[in-house]
Formats: sequence, structure tokens, C-alpha cells
Amino acid sequence: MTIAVLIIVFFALLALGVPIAFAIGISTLATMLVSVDTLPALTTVAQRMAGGLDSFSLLAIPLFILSGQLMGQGGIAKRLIDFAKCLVGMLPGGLAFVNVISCTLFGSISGSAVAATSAIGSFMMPTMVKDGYPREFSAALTATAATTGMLIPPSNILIVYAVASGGVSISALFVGGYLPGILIAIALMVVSAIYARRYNFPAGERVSFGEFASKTMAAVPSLLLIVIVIGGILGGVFTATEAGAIAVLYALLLATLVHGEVKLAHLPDILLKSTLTTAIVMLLIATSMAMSWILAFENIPAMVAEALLTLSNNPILILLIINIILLIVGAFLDMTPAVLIFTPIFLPVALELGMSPLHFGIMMVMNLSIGLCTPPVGTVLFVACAVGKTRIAEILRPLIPMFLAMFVALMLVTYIPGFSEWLPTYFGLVE
Amino acid sequence: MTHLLDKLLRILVASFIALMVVVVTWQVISRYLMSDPSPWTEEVARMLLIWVGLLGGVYAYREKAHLGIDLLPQKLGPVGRKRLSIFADLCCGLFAIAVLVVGGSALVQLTWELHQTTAVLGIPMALVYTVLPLSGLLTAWYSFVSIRDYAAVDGDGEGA
Repeated sequence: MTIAVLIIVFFALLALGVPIAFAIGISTLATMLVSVDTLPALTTVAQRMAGGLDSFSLLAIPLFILSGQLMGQGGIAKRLIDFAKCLVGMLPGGLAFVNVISCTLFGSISGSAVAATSAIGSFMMPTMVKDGYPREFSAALTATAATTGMLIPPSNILIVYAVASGGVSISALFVGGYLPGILIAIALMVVSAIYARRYNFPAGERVSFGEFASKTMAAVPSLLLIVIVIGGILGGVFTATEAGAIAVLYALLLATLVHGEVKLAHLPDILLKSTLTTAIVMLLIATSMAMSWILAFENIPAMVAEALLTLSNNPILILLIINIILLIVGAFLDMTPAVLIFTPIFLPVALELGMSPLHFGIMMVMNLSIGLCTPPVGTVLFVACAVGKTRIAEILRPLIPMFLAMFVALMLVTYIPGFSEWLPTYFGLVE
Repeated sequence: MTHLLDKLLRILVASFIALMVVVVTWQVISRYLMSDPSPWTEEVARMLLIWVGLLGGVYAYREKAHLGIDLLPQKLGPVGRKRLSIFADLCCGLFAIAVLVVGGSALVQLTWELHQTTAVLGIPMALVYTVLPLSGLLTAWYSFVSIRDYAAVDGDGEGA
């Protein structure tokens, strides 16, 4: 009964345009008022909101957002694109591969799919269109390729999952995200190759060794950030949160002193932009934590687990059902609340099936990142359309084969634990 | 009045984020360079995050940056859109008053009476939780300002 209140109030508010964070908070409160007195209900929601933010792990999020902002201010997108051009530009359909690789590299530095879409897209889409690639294809490819940044560390959403799951190591998740992220990139490049053959996409020019060397050197300082952050985490030098602070310092030095693209006068603005992005995520976390608490209080996770497990005892089928539910959720809900609300519901089922929490987290984030570029609610999709000057209705056609490719990658990661577990195990991050 | 408030809020949240970087960096430095891990950094950083999250939430609300679904508003005419915007702001304002101001104040009072303090520095939790009613009041004020601005615009006078 109470769960009906939650669902109805939540979706009604969402449809009426109430911001998601508030819709989550209000529906949580409404649900609590069914069974709890008014003042205790208000106090509990307030306490859950503040308590939900009280975590040293979550602290990594604003830090990585800030370092991403600092890195993104300058010409990093251009440098990464030039570097990727040297690697794959000469292939038929080269610019499509360049797009995917630069989005992946950008994701490993910034961790925001929206930032990747606008930064890489605003360079790549006009170039691709000029070289005869269909505009819709370019926009669809940028949007999907940008989502690789969700899996490739540093990734804020993996941090959110670490908190939601109650203690999966962020380091293990970060390292575990590499192969699945790269797998998506490969899947998208396969689609690009098929398109390139069918539509005779042009090949770029082969670059001289001298140019290759100079473009690589230009990209090295930016890429070094990955080495510092991941190296530091893997070597046990610092935690993910501390890595965030180090990333901020490195990005600050790089942007002000080495590249000279950020002046001290820009800093207040950069801080404010980071605060804005941080605050959007944090308020979502605060109210989602409250909702997740009321769901646990109403014993919903246990009910869902029981329902799923009585439906079938075939792990393959149950995982497929969970994936389909998450794909639908992802089409409507932002990733942060989706992870915070559905992890406590589905993780126990996954554990019951013998899945590790690490594997489940990677699967869930991979699944939900597909939702970033699906209508009706796909932030990345909207940005890609805006930057690429096209409309959602038009990019749906080229998106379909890309979704299929991503779905195949998702199935591989779902059913072959090695993709998410092999690297963390190799580095001794999981037993 | 509102301008001054905007400015204060911006300075506050931006300095909190900057302070967070300093505190966490200090944690790494104190452990490695001075091999004397600082006991208070983690706690201070966590408290800062609560303040940044909630006060920043107000700032994002003021900037109308919170994510929402605008499928229905887009389908409506200017008058319907205006009504929906006012409704959404009303929801946010009421939520802020109920949960953050009323619930938050009760929480502040409760933790004050129980003398709850943080583990390392002994900061009263009541002080940390003060951010709840504070951000609630600010959100309510901005919701009022926003509704007033919508109401002042003629339904058909407003662009997309």
C-alpha cells in the first residue's frame, strides 16, 4: 500500500516538472506520513538527508568534478583529439574512431559524460560533418561514446555505488571499470566500421612520425593525470578521495603553469561551476538516501528479492530481468538516484545468485549509462543534439545499432564476471 | 536584498569547496611528508561536504539547475507552462519549509539536548545540522522570489 503512495506521488511530481531531487524527497515524506507521525517523519527525512551526505567517500565527487572542470577549461579536448587522430585517423571512417577514442580518453580525465559530449562533440561533430559523415550519425556516436566515461575512472557514479552498496572498495570499482568501458568503446567502433564500409566514409591522412611525436607529447601532460590518480590508488599511496585532491592540484598546476590556459581570475568561476555540478548530485544523493531508507523500512528490498526468486531460480533469467528493469529505469531516471534507490533492492538478489558486489556494480552502472542516451530522459542525448544541431527524432535511427552494440557489451559483462573482476583481482584489490 | 544574498551564497559555497581541497590535501601531506597523520581532517572534510551539499543545493535551486523532466511543460502553452513552474516552485518551497526548516530545527534541538558531538573535534552535531534549517529558509525565500517573478510575467509574455 505505502509503496503505491511512493510510486504515484513520485511519478506525478516528476511528470509535472518538479525537480527530481525534490520529487524524491516529497514522495519519501508522503510515504513516511502514512505510517509515522508528522514531526518524527519530518525529522527523520531531514536526518537521513544530512546523514546521507556524511561520507568521506562521497567527498571524492566534488574533487573529481573540480579537477575535471580545471582540465576541461583549456584545450585538452583538442589535444586528445589530435592524439587520437595520429592513432586511428588514417583508417577508413577514421574520424568516427577518433571520436570514440577521444571520448574515452576524455572520460578518463573528466568523468562527466555531459562534459565529454560538449567538449569532444563541439570539435568532432563539425569536422565529421565537413568530411561527409551524416550529422545524425556523428551526434549519436558522440553521445554513446561519451558514456564510456561513466565506467572509466575516475567515475563519480562508481563512487556513488560504492556508498550505496555499503563498502565495495572504490579502488576495485575504478580498476574494474576499465575493461567494460573499453568494451563499450570497441563495440561502438565495430558499429562505426560497419557504417564506414557501407557508406564509404573517408580515411584521414597518415601523419608523419614527427607530427605523431609532437601530438603525443602535447597530450602526455593531460594523460599523466590518469597515471597519477590510478597509480596512486593502485600503489596504496592514497585513497580515492585523496586522489581527488591530488588530481585537483595537478590539474591546477597543469592548467595555470604548463598550459597557461587558466588564469587566477578564472578560479572563482571554475569553483562556482564545480559547486553547481556538485550540488545537483549531492541534493539527489541526500533525498535518494532518504528514499532508500524508507524503502528498507517498508521491507521493499526483501519483497522484491522474494518475488524475483520465486519467479525463477535461473540466474541467467533473473539477471536478464534485472537488466531490463534497469534499462527502463535508466530511460526515465537520472543515474545517481537510480543507483542509490535500486542498489539496495537488487544487490541482495545478485548476491543470492552468487554475483560479487563489484561485478553487480559495474553491470548496473554500465546498464544505466545506456539510459543516459535514451529518450525520453537522456541528458547526454540532449546535449549531443544541441551541440550537433540535430533533433532527437533524427538521431534515433543511427542510435539503434549503437544501442544494440552496447547491449551486447552489457550482456558480456553481465554473464562473464572476468570483465569486471579480472583486473581488480590481478592488482590484489579483491580477494 | 536578493542580490546581496546571491553573492553571499556564492562566496560561501565556493570557499567551502576550496577549503575542502585544502583539508583533504593536508591529510595526504600530513601523512606522507610529516608522517604524522592529522586526526581532524577527515571529520572536517565530511562536515564541509554536508554544508556544501545542502547550501550548494540552494544555489543550484536559485540557478534553476536541478534536473527535472520538462516533457509536459514543453507540450503546454505559455500559460500552462507558467502554472506548472509555479507549482514546481511551490512544491520545492513547501518541502524546504516542512523537512529542512521544521524537521531540521527539531533535529538541531534534539542533538543539542542530547549533547551529541563529532568524534574527534567534539563539534556539536547541532551546529553541523544548522545547515538544514538555514538552507531550508533560503530555499523557501528563493521559491517565493521565483513564484513572484513568474506571477509578474504575463502568461504569453514569457519566452521558452
